[in-house]
Amino acid sequence: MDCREVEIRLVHALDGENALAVDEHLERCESCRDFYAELLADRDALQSLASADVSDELVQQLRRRVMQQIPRKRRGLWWLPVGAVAAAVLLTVTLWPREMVVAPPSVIAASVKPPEIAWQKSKPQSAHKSKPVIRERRREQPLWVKLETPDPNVIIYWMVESKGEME
Amino acid sequence: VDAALTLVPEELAGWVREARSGDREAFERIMVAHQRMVLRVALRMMGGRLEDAQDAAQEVFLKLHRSLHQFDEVRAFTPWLYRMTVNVCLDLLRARPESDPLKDERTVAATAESALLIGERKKAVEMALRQLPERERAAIVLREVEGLSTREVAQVLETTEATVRSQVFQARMRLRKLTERILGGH
Repeated sequence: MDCREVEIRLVHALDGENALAVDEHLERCESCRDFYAELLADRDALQSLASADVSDELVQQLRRRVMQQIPRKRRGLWWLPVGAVAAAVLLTVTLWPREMVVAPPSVIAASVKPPEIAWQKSKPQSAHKSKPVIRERRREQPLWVKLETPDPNVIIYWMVESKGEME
Repeated sequence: VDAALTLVPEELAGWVREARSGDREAFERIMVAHQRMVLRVALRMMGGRLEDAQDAAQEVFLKLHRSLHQFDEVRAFTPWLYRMTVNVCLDLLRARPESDPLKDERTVAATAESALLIGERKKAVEMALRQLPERERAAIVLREVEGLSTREVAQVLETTEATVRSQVFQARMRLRKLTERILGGH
């Protein structure tokens, strides 16, 4: 058995394999004895690395860095989506556009009926066919003109303020 | 003392369950129990560079948090975390440019000088460890620094025991030569 083969067996011996066969060689070979001593010293140095360098500061720093990136716990926030939906419904109801109701003026000076449009006829009726109904009004009161449109929900009022010139 | 060594599997299972449901504190408990182990392996795999090891360990724990739902066998948690650590380190090492000084032969000469100044075998071995091929480095770190059996190392690295034995053997031979060179033949 030569030194190279003994070295291989000695390395394997570190992992629990039987090295008895090399004992005889080791007794008479100083070089292989040195090799084995160095091998054991390397192994001890390797094993000692387990307790080195990982300081408390390094560990705490790592934990801070990781935990900063982990999302916060969601327990106790179950109401958040429900609340969001409720708020959205409330806002929608509050801000939904409604029909604007305007109180009609107390005195109407003139009222114009909308023209009746017969779509089937070839000649459209004159838009001015209906004559305004002129009502009496008292002085110092503003002049109101009411225009009814084909849409019963839409009535247009004009208000003209008189300053005494009109009679 | 490594908290992972004294951890009861049932306790860990409870933490994993709570962490999966979004419990941050439970995840922190898992981390506290394993942070030294992950940092230690990362430190050796990343050539003893503290900053790189911390980056790797951070990536490991963030990855762990993302993939906790995939894990259902608590008994296999530690090998799983070891594997994740080794793989993250290997990915980071591969992402390095080819001209990485760790792979440069001239590094041996440079480290030899500083090791002599320090005069410590431990430092020399640590420096020699950096020169090993990545797979061999992973195998010898898990085997000697972490004290895992050949079978456990095979489980972590997802390979056969024969392959691990071969990698550990090669690593020991290389370490011996490199350490000898670094220490100047002493």
